Amino acid sequence: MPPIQLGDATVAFIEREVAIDLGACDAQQRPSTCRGFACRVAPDRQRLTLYVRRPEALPLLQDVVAHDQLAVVFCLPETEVSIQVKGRHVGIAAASAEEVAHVREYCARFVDGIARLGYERAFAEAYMAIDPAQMVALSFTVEAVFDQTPGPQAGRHKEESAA
Amino acid sequence: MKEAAVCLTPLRNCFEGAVPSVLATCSPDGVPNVTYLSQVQYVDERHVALTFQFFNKTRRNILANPWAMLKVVDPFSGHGWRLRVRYLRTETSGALFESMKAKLAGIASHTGMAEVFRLLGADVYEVLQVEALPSPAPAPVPALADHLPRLRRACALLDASRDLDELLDNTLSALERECGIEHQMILKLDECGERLFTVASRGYASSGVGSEIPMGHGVIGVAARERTPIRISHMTSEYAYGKAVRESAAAQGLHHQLETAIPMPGLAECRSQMAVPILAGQALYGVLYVESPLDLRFSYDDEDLLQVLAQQFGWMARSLAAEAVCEPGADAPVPPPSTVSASAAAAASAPEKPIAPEVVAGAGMVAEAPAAVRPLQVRYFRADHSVFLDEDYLIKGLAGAILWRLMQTLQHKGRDQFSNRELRLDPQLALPEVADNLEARLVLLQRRLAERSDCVRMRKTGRGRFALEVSRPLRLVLVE
Repeated sequence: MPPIQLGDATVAFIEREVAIDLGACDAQQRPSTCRGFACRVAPDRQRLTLYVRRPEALPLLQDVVAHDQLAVVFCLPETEVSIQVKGRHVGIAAASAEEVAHVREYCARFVDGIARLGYERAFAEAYMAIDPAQMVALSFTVEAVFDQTPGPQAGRHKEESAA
Repeated sequence: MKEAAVCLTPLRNCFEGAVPSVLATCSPDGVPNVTYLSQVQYVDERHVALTFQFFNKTRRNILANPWAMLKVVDPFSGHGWRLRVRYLRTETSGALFESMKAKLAGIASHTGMAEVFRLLGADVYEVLQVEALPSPAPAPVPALADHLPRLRRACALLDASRDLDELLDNTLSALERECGIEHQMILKLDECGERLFTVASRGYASSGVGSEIPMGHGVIGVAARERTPIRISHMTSEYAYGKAVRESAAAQGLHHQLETAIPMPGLAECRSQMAVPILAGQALYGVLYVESPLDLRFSYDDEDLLQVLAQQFGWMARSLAAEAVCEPGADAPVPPPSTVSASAAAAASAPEKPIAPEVVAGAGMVAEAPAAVRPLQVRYFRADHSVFLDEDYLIKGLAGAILWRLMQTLQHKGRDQFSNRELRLDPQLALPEVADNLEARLVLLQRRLAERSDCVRMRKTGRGRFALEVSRPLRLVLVE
């Protein structure tokens, strides 16, 4: 599938305090998952970079290297509005210090967000705990965006521009 | 990476729905799909079930390729687990389906989404591997497993009950003492199996004894209809429960006229609630309901405890009702009329006769009462058996019919001593030979009188016996 360019609303949504989870699969079509702790949209709006914890993400990292297919779901806890983004051309690198700072800021906003919803702060902080030395930046090119909000419309393609 | 043997029981907190779970699937052509789930049902230590509500990408994937990965999070510690699962089958009936449907229906009934979130099936997955996700957060502290000792103490407290009245109080005390549950009610299924009425409650400004919920409505009604526990653990928008039930029921015409309705007790801001059916074998007695203003107040372990306790309650209530029927001496003649209570006698102009001047029932023909003591007007509406004391609504249904019988007996025969047995055999009340409803209705009546009247009360005088004490002359008015 050709790459697409994310629209303003999608970019704004992804950059909010959203929960992030990734999915991939191996050659036998068995899925792997890991959590994302921040996301960054590239200036061309065609690539996304997700930040994951290496020990947790190991099976998924192996799968994307071998299979080059990635699905990422974003959900705003406050509204349960969700989107799923799928793509390929995965690149993997250790997160830089500047990126770790971005992750920390993202996590702090997420913690504040779910604390406002009534979750215990201790839970939220444990849930978003990271070790800077273990953060990996996983980039990919977006090829499809889907509405994933719970309900009958979940799974519909969202309109984004072709790149 | 640390791997654990497949046993989901220690992970049950992860299935509360407080933190959305994640399911990753894969299409046969190797495209992954990942989605959030609001409900993961613990089935047993090796199986979970997911709701099938829409025919979406996940659904198509698992039908074509059963392998999936499920991520769940402990809502207390923030730690996560990955479950490698394999889709086995979809159930569209049976206990699991009904349990999940009831939970979904209970949630939906509060959010007005009943038509949107309809369960089409319970997708059952076998869990092949459980893997704790490595995290830099401090390791979770294992919770102290003390539910069994608490259940044992609670059961002992129930065992000490000699009648239904004590059983109700002891059950509420057991939950309060052993589980720290502050807001609770016990509801009994009515004679027609159409409504549940509150017989006892604790932790509310007003007891709400006598208030009703239609079968199948809300968390309590659905738990009763489906005979399965329903527990909702994390709510932000689902509150004003009793009010919502009442308004909704009234709108549907399921409730009696509002002027005769007793407000349902309930927390203004309820964030955790659990309704557990009270069963004795296959027979449904009623529902035990608990709630809390705290999120995640009730766990799977609490559900286990309450379910066992509710079963003990169900069997004991049934046993006590059966004992009351077979009780030696229950057929003995009722004491003579001269045992009219002192208070009633004092209020009456002629102690050996009816405690008030003869009153003509119906047609507004009412005899004069002594000027000194204002008579208590008791109005009985035959259509719904509702009873009003002066202008205040007291009770309706079977309890209303019973009170009217008692009042008539007191009025016309001067007898104030009664036995449960005679009520059970009373052709006018037409009760089934063995029924636990009579005991429940008498408890309800006794509690409503204690709450609503300062001149009429029911006093227990022995096992299966009681006195009706009236401190004002009666004026009985039958309204056809």
